[in-house]
Amino acid sequence: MKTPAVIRNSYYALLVLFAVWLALLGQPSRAPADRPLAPIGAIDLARMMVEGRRNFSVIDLTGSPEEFHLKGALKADLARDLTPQVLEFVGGNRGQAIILVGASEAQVRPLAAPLVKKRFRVLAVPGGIGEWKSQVLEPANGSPELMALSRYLQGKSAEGAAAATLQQVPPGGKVQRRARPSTGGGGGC
Amino acid sequence: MGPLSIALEWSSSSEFLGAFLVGIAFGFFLEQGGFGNARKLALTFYFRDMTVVKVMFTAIVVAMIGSLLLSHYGYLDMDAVWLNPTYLWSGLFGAVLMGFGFAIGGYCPGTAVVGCATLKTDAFFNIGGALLGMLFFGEIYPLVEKFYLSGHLGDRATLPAFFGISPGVVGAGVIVMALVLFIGSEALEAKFGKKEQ
Repeated sequence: MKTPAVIRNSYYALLVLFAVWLALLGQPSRAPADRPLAPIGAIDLARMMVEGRRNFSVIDLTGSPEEFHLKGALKADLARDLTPQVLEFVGGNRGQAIILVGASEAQVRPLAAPLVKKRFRVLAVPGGIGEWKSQVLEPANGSPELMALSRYLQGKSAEGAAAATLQQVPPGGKVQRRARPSTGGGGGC
Repeated sequence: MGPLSIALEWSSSSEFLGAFLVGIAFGFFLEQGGFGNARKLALTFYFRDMTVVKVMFTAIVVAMIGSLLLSHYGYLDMDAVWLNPTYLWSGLFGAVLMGFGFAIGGYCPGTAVVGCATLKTDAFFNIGGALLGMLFFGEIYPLVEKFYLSGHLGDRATLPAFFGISPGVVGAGVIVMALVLFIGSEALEAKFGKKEQ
């Protein structure tokens, strides 16, 4: 059946409208693509760890004593251990986020820059163990959920796992990772 | 902000399930559009039925407009969307090779799978040939690796970056190209296609 002229012409007119709209858009206002680092909050990271998410790797550069260790994190020394190759190895699949705790953006930027082209996302949680402790482990005025999270991370509370639903914990920043390339493919034909 | 798989923290299994469901839906609509029939597909090359061109370009334009607008207004992070690396010369060669295969066999890879879903015998032969071709390519890869990697324009080569213009302007250009193709297709069908009753 041949498409009625009115539908065909309406379709063409709609396309013209979209073409004009797109041509007038200008440059997008989002963050530049090559930004190698994005800071996140310590509380956000703690929440991700408690929830047992597996789409990121954590490297602990705080040099913290064992009792304050971050569950599942690799302990490392920034100057001695880390190279872009090590980060890539730790990251595993491309698209993973690699979270460096206890290092500033300036410190990590040379390490992270080569990885951006390989679709890794490197996130920094700045601050040493003192900041980590004050924000997450020993919050002065934390909500009940945050206090439960704190106990859980220090291994003092088995039921702290219930704090995994920490919807009320104030977010310290938004975590982003790169898409994994598993769904990369050709065209649609 | 999308992609959904990132925003919703999907696991690998969930990503594959999502891709599977989207693939099923895509195949269903291809089949409904008549893309599971090699005869209909092959008529494209004789300018007698340009449905393939119109449907595929409609799909391209719809996906492109959606991606550009969602990205521009902050709902989709295009930097987090995987793009295939660009290898110009092997890509051009592969396009020509696939064109020959499409013209001879009557199917492109996606439509061959759609043909298999409706038990078309020729589609099974097409898929079998494609699998044999992949096996052959895998075996001779060391011999052709240099050519395969030639003309590398980058892991995320895009037209806006290549020409130094905004994505929206490129999108508008693609829409104009689609309009020219649609109108040209109608004219070709009127000239070469069967007169409808």
